[in-house]
Amino acid sequence: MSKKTATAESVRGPLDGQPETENRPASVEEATETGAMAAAELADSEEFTYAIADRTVALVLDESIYKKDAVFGTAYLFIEKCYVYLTAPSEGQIGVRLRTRGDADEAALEEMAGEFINELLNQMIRHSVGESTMRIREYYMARAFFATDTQTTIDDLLAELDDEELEEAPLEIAVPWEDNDA
Amino acid sequence: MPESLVFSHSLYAAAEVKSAVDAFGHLAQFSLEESEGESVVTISEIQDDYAEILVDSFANYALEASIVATRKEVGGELL
Repeated sequence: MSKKTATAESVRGPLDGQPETENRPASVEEATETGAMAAAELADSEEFTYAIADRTVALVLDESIYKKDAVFGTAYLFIEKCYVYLTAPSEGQIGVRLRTRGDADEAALEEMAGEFINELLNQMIRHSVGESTMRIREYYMARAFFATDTQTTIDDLLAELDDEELEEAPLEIAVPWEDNDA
Repeated sequence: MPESLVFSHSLYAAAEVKSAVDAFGHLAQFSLEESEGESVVTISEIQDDYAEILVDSFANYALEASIVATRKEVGGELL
């Protein structure tokens, strides 16, 4: 099995060093910005090492960098494309073995390794943005499910329009528009 | 020749590994040993038609089922 390195993306996770709640952004825009910053941090990185052999790519991920949830999300997508087997070689590490369903040359295996890492980054940013926007989503869900009487509904708006029309009539008697025009 | 797969419980749900053994049981001989922290599955007597793919397919099945189960457990959506 030969070892390869690629300029990628393997050092710090986007949430490293961030407090759990204090720095959560207050808006979706800010959360998106956080995701972009996370991507920039990840791109400013060390080399990524993987090994390739007959139909197989093997790599070891540091769990303190790559969240298990992101690895699962990536693995789930790759199950459609190839055979995926995860191991726990040591505490805090996740081993990933990808095996193609058919024959593959070295270039194809390298491409598969790159795709896996790209998707892993994508999943990590999704995870990061998901955490950043959690409070906003919870707020909107709470508003949707536990709306108070002050919430404006379509019926309220229609009733308001009716009231306005009545106010315009001197006697506030509803008159069909056909009669009004006559 | 028998082949063994080790499924760490930090990554695979023990119940889903067991369900994978049940699902693939008619295609080969499976032996499942569960210890603290991992399930070890030994596969032998694989039917010739499936010799090339059975072990990998089994691992895929166990992983997919484990991921789905994990996501359900935390109440999140799959992706």
